[in-house]
Amino acid sequence: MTTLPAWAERPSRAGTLLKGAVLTFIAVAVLFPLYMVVLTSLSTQEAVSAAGGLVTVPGELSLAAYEQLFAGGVVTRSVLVSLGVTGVGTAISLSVTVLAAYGLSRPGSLLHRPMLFLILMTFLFGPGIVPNYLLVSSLGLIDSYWSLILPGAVSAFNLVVMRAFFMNIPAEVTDSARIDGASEFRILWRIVLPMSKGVTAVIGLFYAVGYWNSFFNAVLYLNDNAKWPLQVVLRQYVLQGQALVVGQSSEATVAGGQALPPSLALQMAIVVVALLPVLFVYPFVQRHFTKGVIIGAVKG
Amino acid sequence: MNTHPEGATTSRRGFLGLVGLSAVAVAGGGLLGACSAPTGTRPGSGGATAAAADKLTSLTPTYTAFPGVKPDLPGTVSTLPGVPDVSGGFTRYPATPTAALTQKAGKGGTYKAMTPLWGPPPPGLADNSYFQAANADIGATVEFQITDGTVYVDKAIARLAAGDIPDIMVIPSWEIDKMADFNTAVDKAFEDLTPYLQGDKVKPYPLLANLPTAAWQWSVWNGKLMAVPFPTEPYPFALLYRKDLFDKNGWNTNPKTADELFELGKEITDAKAKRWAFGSIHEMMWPTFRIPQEWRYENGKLVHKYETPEFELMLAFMQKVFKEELVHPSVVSSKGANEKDLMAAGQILVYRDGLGGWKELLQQHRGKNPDFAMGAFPVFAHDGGTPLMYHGTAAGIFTFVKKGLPKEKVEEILSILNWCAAPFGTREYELSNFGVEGKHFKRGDNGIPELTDLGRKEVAYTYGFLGGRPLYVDWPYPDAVKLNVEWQNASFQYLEKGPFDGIRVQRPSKYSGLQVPTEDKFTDIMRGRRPVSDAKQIVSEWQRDGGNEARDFYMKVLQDNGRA
Repeated sequence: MTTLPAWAERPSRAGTLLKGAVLTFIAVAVLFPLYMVVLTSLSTQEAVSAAGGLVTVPGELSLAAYEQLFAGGVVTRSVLVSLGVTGVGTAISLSVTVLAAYGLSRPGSLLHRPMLFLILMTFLFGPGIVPNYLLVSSLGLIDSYWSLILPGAVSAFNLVVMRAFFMNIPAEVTDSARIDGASEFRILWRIVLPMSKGVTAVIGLFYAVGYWNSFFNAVLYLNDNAKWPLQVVLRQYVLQGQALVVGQSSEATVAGGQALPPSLALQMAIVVVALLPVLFVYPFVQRHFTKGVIIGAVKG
Repeated sequence: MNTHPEGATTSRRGFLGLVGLSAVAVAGGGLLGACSAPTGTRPGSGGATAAAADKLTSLTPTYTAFPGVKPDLPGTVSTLPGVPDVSGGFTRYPATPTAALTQKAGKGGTYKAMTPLWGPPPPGLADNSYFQAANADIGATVEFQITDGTVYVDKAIARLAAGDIPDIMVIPSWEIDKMADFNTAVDKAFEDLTPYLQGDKVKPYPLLANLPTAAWQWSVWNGKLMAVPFPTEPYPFALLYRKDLFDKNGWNTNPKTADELFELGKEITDAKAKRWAFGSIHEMMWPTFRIPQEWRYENGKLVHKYETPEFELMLAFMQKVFKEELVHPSVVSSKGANEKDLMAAGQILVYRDGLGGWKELLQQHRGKNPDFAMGAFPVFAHDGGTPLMYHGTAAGIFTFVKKGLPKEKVEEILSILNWCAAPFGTREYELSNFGVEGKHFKRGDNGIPELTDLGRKEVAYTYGFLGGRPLYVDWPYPDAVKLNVEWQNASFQYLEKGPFDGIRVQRPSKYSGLQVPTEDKFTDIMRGRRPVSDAKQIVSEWQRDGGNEARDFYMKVLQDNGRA
C-alpha cells in the first residue's frame, strides 16, 4: 500500500470497490468490442457462422483471413504507399505548420493579421469536391502521390493550436535569445521548439493519423489503382458484394460478378490491419498529450 | 425554386409509340456546377409529333440475335414497354466455348476506362497477366481506372465537371440519378453514338446488336443514343428461403395468402433454437398486397402507393408479424444486421433479396455444405387473388465514350465494347470473366471454370461492365439455375403495368428526399410503436411536404405523353 499524504483520508473499502467497478466497466466497454473484432478476425468461417455474427467465445481459430488479405500483393504494396505518404506528408505538414505558426505568433511579422484571417476562413468555408478537383487537376497532380499530401498539407485547426501554444511562450525567453544575437530561425529551432515538444508530438500525431487514414482524396485523385493507399484497398475488400446495399436489384445483379463476398473474419482482419499502427503509436505520444495540456496551467 | 411544375421541365422522347421521356427536376439545384445549364425546355421537347416519335424509334440499334449460343432453359420474351426479357438460363458450361468474333476487335490503340468495382482491387496492368491476356486477345490496350463502387458518383461528378474524361467511362444509372444536370453534362462530355449504332449501322458490332432493345432505349439522352447499356433482369427482388431446411422439415414452400405466410412464420419460428422465420420482408409485402410500385392511375387521378388502402393492410400485417416476433431480433434492432450471414446460419429462414443474393449465398456456402440450397416463393397475393410483381428498369449501367475522339478511335472503342459484350458460352466471355485456362482458372466438375490462386488475385470484373450482355442465369449450380428461371418465367405474367412504363422519369429531388423520413414513420407503425390508424396522418404529412407537388409533376408527365 502506498503511503498517503498526511492530509488525505484513507479511502473506504466501499469507495475503492465502487471506483474499481466503474473503471472495470469502462475498460470492458472499451476493450470488449476490440476483443470481438480481433477474435472474429482469427476465427474460421464455421465459427463465425455458428456465432451468427461477431464471435465472443473462442471457437476454431485460423489465420486464413490474414493470409487471404496479404496473399494478393496488392495489400502489401498499399501498406508501403500508406507508410510513405504518412512519413513524407507528416514531415511536410509539420514543418510548414511549425514555420507558419511561429511566424504568425510574432506580433510584428509581415501581414500576419490578414494571413491569419485567410487561414481562419478555411474553418468556415470548404471549397467542395469539384473546385478542389479542378485545382489539383490544374496543378497536374492527378495520379500523383502529391495529390494526397499537398491539398491538405496545412490544417487550420492544427496551425491555430500551435500558434496559440507559441504565443504562450514568454517573450522574455525569446528576447534574451535575440539579445544574444540569435536569428529568428535559431530562436525557433533552439528555444521555441525544444519547449514545444509536447504540442509538436501531438500535432504530428494528428497529421500522421490523417495521412494514414487518407481515403477520399485517394479515391478522387488517383486513377491508377496500383497507387492506392491502404485504406482504399481495404475498403474494397469490405465492399465485396455490398453493392446490394446501395439500393435496387439491378445493382445487385450487376455487381454480383464473380467475386465472393468476404467473410466477416476477413472484414475484421481488415479493421485490425487498419487500426494496429495507430494503436501502437498512440501510447508513445500519449504522454505528451497530458504534458501539452498541463504546460501553462500553473503559469497563469 | 420550390414550385413544381414550373421548376421542372418535361420533354418528349418517343419510342415505338410509347413515348420515352426525360423529366428533369431542376429544383434541387445544379450538382454539376461547372456544367450547369440554363433551365427550361431542352431540345426536342414540347409539341412532339408523330414524326419526332418515328425518328426516335429509329435511334436504337436493330436487334439481331447472336446465333452462337442458345440457353438450354428458355426465357420469356417481353412485350411490355421498357421491361427487359427473361433471357433464360444455362444448366451446363459449354465444353468448347465458341469464338464470337472472327477477327481482332482492336487496332492497337490504347484507352483508359473508368469502371466501378465492389471487391478487392487487382494488380495494375503492368503486373496483371489477366489484363495483359485479355488486351492481347482484344488487340488493343485497355487500361482500367478502377474506382470504389460506393463513392463512384463523387469521382464521376468531379471528373465530369473538370472535363477530365477518360476514353471510356462507365456510369451506373443509380449514380446518374444523383447528378442533377446530367442531361447537359452528357452532351458536353460524351460522344453521340447515334451515327455509329443507329438502326442497321450496328451491323459491324454483332454482339452489341444482340443486346435487348428495351435496354438500348434507356441509353438515349436528349434524343441521341449516348451509351452502351448493361441490361438488367426484370425483377427487383423476391422472397428467398432456405430450401434445404424447408425440404428437410416439410414446411410449406408455397404460401398462397398473407395468412398462410403468417401461419408458416409461426410454425417455423423457434426462438429457443435461435431460429426465426423472417429477415426483412416488408418490401416484398408491397407487391403481395398489390400496392403499386409507385403510382396508380385511376379515374383520371394519380394515387401514390402510400395513399392506397392496400398500404394500410400491409402495415397492419407487418405489425402482426413483428408483434408475434417472427422477425430475427438482430434485424429488428439494427439496420446493419447481415441477413445473408443469418440465412447461412439458419437463424433466418425467409428474407427479401435480389436474385443475385441467391447466387452469392450459394457461392459462399455450397462449397462447405453441398446440401445448402435456396429457393424463391412463387409470387402470391395477400388475399389469394391474382398476384402482382414489380419490375426494374431495363438497363442498370451505361458505358460512354469520350467526346471529340476521332471517328476511327470511336469505332475501335465500340469494337472493343463489342468484344466485351460477348455472351455466356463464348470464348471471349470466358477470357473476360475467368482469364486464361490453366493459368487463371481450371475446369472443375461439369467443366465449370474455377479460379486458381492467381485467378483470384488478378481477375476482377472489369471488361464485363464495358459491354453489357444478355442477362442469362449462368450460375454454376444447375439446380438453382432451373429454379431461378422457372420462377422468373412464372412471375413474368404478373408484372405490374404501371402508368409510366417505358417513360423515363427522373425523380424530383424533393420527392426522393421524402422517401426515407416517411418510410421511417411507417416503420414505427410496423414495429408497433404507433397504431396503424396513424398512417393517415403520415400520408397527409407526406402530401403536405411535397407529395402533392410530386403528384402534379407526375401528372404533367402523363399529360405530356398523352396518357392522361
